[in-house]
Amino acid sequence: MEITKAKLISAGHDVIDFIPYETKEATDIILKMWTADGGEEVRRNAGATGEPLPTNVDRIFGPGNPSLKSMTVFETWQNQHAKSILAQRFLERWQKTAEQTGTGRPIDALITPSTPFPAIRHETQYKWNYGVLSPLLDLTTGVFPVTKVDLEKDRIPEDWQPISDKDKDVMELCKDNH
Amino acid sequence: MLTIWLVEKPENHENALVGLALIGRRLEEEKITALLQVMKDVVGVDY
Repeated sequence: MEITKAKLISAGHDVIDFIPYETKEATDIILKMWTADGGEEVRRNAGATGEPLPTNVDRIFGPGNPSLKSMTVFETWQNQHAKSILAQRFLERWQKTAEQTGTGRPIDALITPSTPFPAIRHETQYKWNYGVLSPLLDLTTGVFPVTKVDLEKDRIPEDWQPISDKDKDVMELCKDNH
Repeated sequence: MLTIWLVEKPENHENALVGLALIGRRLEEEKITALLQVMKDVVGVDY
């Protein structure tokens, strides 16, 4: 993020901070949308060939998810309503950036990480909040490469503190054995 | 069913690619495509 910001600024572009507070709630909403049928559609499609679900699919849509159950229509409608309210809030905050940009229009685009880490190994369990706003709100999204993992530069700072339990769990996944 | 929580080591991911997402509003495919070219020209990659 810092590499990208520095290069954009030195090329004359303006960069302002925008914190996507909505990602935490968006993750909860989207998980409910995906599992509203208790995973039945996923299991039927995979079951057509008799093949088992991959581990990370099973953790959400299969027996690996102990809290998986169908939602009632009422619960589904409540969830969709929560999504509408979140979409409205996000739109208002996006539009409000026009007050900061100096161009008279809101930000042209938002740059965010897509995951908290580089590609994970198969079967690894992981938690995330990033990457959900795009599918939940149908936001046009592209990805671009920036750099590579550098074991010298990419060390956990001594004074790093988690900003949430999930943040702590994600960092626990990657123990620094240096 | 066993759940195996793997602890990752940073060494396993040395030189792994790191990228970012560029997000616009709905139906802005032309703009994001053009902005991705800007990212390529301005940010590029450092490898």
